[in-house]
Amino acid sequence: MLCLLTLICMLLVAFPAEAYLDPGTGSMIIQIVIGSILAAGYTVKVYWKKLKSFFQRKDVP
Amino acid sequence: MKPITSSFRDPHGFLATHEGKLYRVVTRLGKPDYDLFAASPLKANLESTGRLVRHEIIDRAPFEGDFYKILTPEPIPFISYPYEWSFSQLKDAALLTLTIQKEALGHNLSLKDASAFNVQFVGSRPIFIDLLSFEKREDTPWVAYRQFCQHFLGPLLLMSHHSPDFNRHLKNYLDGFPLSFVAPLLPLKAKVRPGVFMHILLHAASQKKHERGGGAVNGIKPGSFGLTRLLALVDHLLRVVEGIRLPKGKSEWSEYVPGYSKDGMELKKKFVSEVLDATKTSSVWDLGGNTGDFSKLVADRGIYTVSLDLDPLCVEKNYLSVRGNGKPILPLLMDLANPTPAIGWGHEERMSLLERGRPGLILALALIHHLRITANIPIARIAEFFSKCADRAIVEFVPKEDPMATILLSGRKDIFHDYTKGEFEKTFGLYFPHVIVAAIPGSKRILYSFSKA
Repeated sequence: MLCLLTLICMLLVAFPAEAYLDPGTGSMIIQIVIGSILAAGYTVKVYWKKLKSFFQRKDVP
Repeated sequence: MKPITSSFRDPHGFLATHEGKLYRVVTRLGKPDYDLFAASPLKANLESTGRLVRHEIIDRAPFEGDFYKILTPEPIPFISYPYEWSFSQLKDAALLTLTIQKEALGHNLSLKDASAFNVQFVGSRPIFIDLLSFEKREDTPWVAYRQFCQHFLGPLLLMSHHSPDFNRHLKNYLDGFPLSFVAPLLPLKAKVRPGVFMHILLHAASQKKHERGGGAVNGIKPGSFGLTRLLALVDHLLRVVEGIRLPKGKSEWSEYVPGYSKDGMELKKKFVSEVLDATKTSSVWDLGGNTGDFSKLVADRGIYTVSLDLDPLCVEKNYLSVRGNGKPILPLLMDLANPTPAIGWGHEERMSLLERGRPGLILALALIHHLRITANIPIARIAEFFSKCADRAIVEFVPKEDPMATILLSGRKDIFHDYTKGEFEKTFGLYFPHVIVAAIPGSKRILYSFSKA
């Protein structure tokens, strides 16, 4: 399963053609895994903030 | 035009000096990204909030060459390096890098590198110096993620969990600590934290697994790593870095209370103040500055003061005491018995302490007994070093009979035959012929103001 996930990541990941900094294959691949995990929480956080500010605005007379 | 020896990796530009002035040169290759950043509101915003060094565009090229743009950056009074910063200085530099990256993403830009050397301090204020670090954001993972973890996250974790001066070892690792070096050094309580587990342990494991895989991934798939994932990654790194703390601790010197009488301390302050006022210097190095009491006395006169000390907790305390208050003090970690050498490619990528300018005056208060007795450096070599640092020096002589010197001498054979008032005056007089002397009341200590002319 992990091998399959890694293979998918390797197919998806790409380095910018002119990058002067070596981003490191492992560092690029792991970001896809970590980014996917964090993105869900981040999206919830962003919408929660929006929702909170929407109701807070309504409270103002 | 002479390119700066530390500025050669990025084909988009470099720093150079010409007739004593510093320039940032943008090459033709750097045009697209430079234009994009220069036109972005991000640049103006970072400059107006003091987070990016201001650059002025030169209309008439001061030197020959097929370049796209030549700019003059706002000068940095004293260049410092991550292996000389205290914990909070490195942490503030990390947070600056991440907040800039977060804002850049909002403008469809991204940092193409996250080197700690891209941050400098003006006094206690961190500032980003490389305006060529910005590029158009692509839907790919962050190219500078590895570098950020090596330059900032790993060192901060090791400073927090091992010793507050662990960053000294960055001198051996100019591109930051490899994660395979950081991971096994962290204690279990750190490893089980989600941020450390993901950005250090998983990251290191992935690097190991793909260490030979550089050429295996070349096909760009647009949308493989969208803005939300990038923002989530940077936002998480911000929270992880914010959560790293230095354990509460004291060192021998961070809580040191000098044993002067009230009159003695008053005379010492008066003597230093009078010399400073008569000298009219614009820069001072406070050698062995401890938590910066005398650095503040200097900086209160508007003099840019580099406050150097061996004790990482003193440097940290000094930095926290001036952070945000605008005083022109730059506290730095420095072992004067082994000052920062020139390192990197050709021994000239990162400068030694003495290569980074020459202050108008050095302060060496309650320091010389440590250099002579603890570090075993002969008086002649101390005088020679001080004369290399500056043309003026205020030195406090602490004789062997002084209680602090007695402690240093206890339990060891006194081999320090040149450490007498007479020898000290004679030797320093060879380098600094002009001298003003004042005895500190209530002690056997003596203050000297030396000058070459």
